[in-house]
Amino acid sequence: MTEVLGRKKPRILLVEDNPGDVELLRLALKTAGFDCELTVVGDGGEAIAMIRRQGKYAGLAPPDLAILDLNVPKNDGIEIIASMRASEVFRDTQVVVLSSSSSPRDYARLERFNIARYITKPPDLDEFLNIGSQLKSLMAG
Amino acid sequence: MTLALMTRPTLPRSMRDVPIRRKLLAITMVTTAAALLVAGAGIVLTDSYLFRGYLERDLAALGRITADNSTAALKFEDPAAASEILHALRARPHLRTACIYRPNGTVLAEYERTGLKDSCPPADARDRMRFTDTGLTLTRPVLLQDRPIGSLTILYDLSEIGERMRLYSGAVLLVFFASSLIAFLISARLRGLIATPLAQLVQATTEVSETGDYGIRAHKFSGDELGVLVDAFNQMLASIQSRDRELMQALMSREDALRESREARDQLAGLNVDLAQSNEKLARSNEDLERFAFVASHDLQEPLRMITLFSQLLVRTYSVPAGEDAAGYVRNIVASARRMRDLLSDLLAYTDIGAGSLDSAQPVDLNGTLDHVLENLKVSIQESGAVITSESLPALRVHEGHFISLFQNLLANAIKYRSERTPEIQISFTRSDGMLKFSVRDNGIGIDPEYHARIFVAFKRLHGQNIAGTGIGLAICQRVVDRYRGRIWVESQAGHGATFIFTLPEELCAPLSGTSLCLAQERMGEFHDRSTGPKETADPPGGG
Repeated sequence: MTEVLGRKKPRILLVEDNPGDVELLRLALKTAGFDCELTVVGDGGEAIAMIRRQGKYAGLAPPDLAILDLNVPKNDGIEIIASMRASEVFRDTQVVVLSSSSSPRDYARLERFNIARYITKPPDLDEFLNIGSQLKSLMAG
Repeated sequence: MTLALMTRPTLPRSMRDVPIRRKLLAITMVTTAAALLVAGAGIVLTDSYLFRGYLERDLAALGRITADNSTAALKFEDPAAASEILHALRARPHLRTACIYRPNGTVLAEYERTGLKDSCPPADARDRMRFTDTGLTLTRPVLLQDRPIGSLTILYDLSEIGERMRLYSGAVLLVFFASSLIAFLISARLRGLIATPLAQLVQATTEVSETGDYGIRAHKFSGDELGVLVDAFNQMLASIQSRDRELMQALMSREDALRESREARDQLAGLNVDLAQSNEKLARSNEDLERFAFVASHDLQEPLRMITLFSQLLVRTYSVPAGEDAAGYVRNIVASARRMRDLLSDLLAYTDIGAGSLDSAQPVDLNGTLDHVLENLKVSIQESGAVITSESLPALRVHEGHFISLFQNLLANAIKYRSERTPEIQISFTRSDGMLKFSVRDNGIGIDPEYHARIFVAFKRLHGQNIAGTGIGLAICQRVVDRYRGRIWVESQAGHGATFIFTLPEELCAPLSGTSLCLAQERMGEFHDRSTGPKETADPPGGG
């Protein structure tokens, strides 16, 4: 992760439509002391526009990490990952799936993509806050 | 046919096609004529024969008398007396010539009816009578005291016979014509007896063949063969008519049956369409329901999770002075939310079993599946100190998730409903009669037989909140086994542990390289302790 080390702050893209989860994730990152630049997108359509660098996203540099909820409006998480892997710019971006589902079917659908982590959203506060340090250690390599 | 065997009368070709009426007339006339001709000819011939006999006898007598009378004339050489004797023969108109000869053959006297002279034939002294070209000739010697003294010859003209014949023939012809006329007249009346019924019969057959109406009957005029023929014909018509009627009825009933079967088929087709539509509707509504259950249970988990997390966050962020109360309330919120979460999770698992096709099932080594389950249950196994042993399990073509749910629920129950003793759980597998039989035996509290059927029903629980549970675990097990066309039941007595048994069809056996398939008998009975340190389970997919 030499690229990350060269930067001041790691840039993280979060695709999540639930404001509660967004707030909890911010808290988790803060609790872990993970200083990063977080960009939040509320639906799949917006995420794909960003990956294709359409409109206001023209010339956008790819993030260091993308955290995706699979179940988001418009285009779902699988489509977003497929779009990333098909893009020259976002092709190598690390992806963490943060899902409310632990369905085996979701695992199966993700098998063909190179995913860094699959995290089921925990139903306990401490476990949830622990996600921050997981992400920090992932980015630290 | 017997008719064909009968001798066929041979008729001249010209007669064959003549109507019966005229044939009958011809038969009558020919028969009558033949009889009359034969009779006439017989009469004429008989008369002619009798007449000849009569003539012979008459002439013989005449000759004898003449000869006797002429004895003296010859003795005394008296031609005049002889001539007188001969002239007495004039009374016979057909006596043509008579001559008396001297012994030397010269003519003493002669009689010639027409008056001609020298018509006497040469003398002949033999006593005989013969028919000649000219008639009947009688020659006879004239005897005196048995010595011949001359001879006599008489020629008799036979034209009388011809006259008689002509007369007779004329009479016969007359009778013939008269009787033919009478026969014709009578037969004209009589032939109606045969020809008329025949004509009627012919008319009836023609009508039947032309109209096809077998109801027509020929009229019976008599009790003779023709009557029998008419009866037979009528009977034949009647039997044809009844057969025709039966045939029509059969045809009509067949037609009816065909129409009915066609209607039935149409109805059936309609019903099939209805059924297909109902099935489609049912499948759709079932799908909708499953989808609803899935989405509901899935989406309901999210707000619950939020409630839990933010309740915890609330307590943590704003710790109140007498914080214990607030912390206790939040613990209740969290516990309730967790319980609801478990319910939803199980409900989700339950609906998930029905989803997806079995066609995509892959060969699964159930030993690996069991390892996975033991890993999931690691905490409760360690807490309870449970000892779990298992025989070698087969590889089956199934969805592994289904069997994770199945084993996990059975094992979790065996641990959860334990008695004071350390839980000992044995998993067995046998194969017999085309069935794969699995059993999970524990030494727990057991189940009263009264409740054996009830425990497999969703949300039926035998215990209160003191033992955690959603009441859906065994329903999930039942549903998994049902999905693979198997059967599940429990054998247990309260206080004596329980054995959960399920069977599956042998067809599920799957070839899997490097592992035993559905196990052979010799590998049975090997128990492996699975409760201590199962091999490290793989990370979830994507975890690397």
